[in-house]
Amino acid sequence: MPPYHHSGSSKGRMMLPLVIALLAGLSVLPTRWSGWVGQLSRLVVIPTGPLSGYVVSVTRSVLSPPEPPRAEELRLLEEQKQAYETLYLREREQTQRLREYIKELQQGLALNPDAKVQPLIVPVIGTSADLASGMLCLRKGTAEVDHNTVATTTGLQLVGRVTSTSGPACYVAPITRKGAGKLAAAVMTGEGRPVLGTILTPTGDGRLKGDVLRLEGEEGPIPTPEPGQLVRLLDDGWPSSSRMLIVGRIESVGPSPEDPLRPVIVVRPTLNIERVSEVVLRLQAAGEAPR
Amino acid sequence: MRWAPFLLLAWVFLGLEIGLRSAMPFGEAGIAPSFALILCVYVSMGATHAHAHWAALLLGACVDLASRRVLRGGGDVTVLGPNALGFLLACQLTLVMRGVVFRKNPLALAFLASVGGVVCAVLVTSILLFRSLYDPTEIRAGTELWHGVLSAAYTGLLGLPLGAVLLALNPLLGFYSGPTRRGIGR
Repeated sequence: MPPYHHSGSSKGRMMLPLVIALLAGLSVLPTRWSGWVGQLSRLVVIPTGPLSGYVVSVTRSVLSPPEPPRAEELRLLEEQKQAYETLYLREREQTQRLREYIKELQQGLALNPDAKVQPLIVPVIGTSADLASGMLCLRKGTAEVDHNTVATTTGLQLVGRVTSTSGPACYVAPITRKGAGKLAAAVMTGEGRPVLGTILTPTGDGRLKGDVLRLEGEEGPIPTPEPGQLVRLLDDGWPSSSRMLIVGRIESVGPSPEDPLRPVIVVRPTLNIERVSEVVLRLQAAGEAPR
Repeated sequence: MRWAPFLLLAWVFLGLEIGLRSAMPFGEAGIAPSFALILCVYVSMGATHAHAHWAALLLGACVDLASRRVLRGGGDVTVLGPNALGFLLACQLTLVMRGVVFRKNPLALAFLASVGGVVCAVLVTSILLFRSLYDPTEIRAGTELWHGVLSAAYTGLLGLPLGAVLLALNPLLGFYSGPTRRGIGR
């Protein structure tokens, strides 16, 4: 770029105000007309992705707290237990829903097929430069990732949903960030089917908070939620394949400010989901309709 | 200014901006130093006005393109412009003030990076706040501004060690590294 006092300086003088005016216009352009700008982010993500991905993997491996020493076999067994427990609860919940579908069918209503998922492990290559959004930037490569694809850790801990894609990258909004929205979940108070539910709202400090309610159709005595109990996703707004994924564990229980008789729970994910170095994208298998 | 070494430095600093910011202490709380702004201020301290302006716009636009703003009701949007204009403002401030600071001192770079960070944060927050009047862009202006000011101070802190490294690269970028006198670098 020539300095102003060299030949062609008039061109340089003309260009700068024009570019500034263009950027000023773009910065106030409403979202409905500026969707194409997101596609330009690949101009930055593609060249910087390998470097930032390396930086993320190095820093997160250095900064993540050391796991307590335990036998590899025990760790594998625990992971398997979590996986089978999630599968069992999902199947049981699915059976319940199928019963309801049958009832609906008998009443002449349409049935939505259940979605199958294909897991895809992808590395986290950075975060949004705007830290307030807390979004994770993932390298998905050439995989076709739809909007709202669910992201989890390898241990079935829910991370969030894909909000946008740009070239080989996609962005996930963690469930603990304020902009992520509310989340309906079930409180696992015992071995049986969940009796209590909650609508969790992110508090902005890596936790979620919500009033505990009795789930629809459940009867009998109301169990009391206790710290340490698991909270699992049970939200109709999320893909059906993500039901019963782990939202976190109850950190504390207290009375609701509005209704002292109703408990309020604070839930913390089982690990820091904003600092994971890789996630599992649960892609919808072809031909399956998301819910 | 030599553009090839600048672009290489920009690549490294943007990689750190995207990959390292959130991992820095307080990063999870939204307070983190801006590597790209330090480079912008460094270039503004040594390059000609025209080169400094274009470099600031380029760095700011890259930061914009690497940012995602959350929308109310879900989704996100990339807003191109706020950081580009903010970096340009920080660059202009540095160009005005570089005559009254000792350019070879990392402390000067750290100070100018802090001040530049504050003006950049004010401009970015103002633009986003204006957008939120008619657009579903999610913004908490007070928090964003407060985090911006703290991040600017953090940027200044990081500017000290990084400034020492960058100032040693003056000959590589074609910046004058001898004794300062009136007219040099303009």
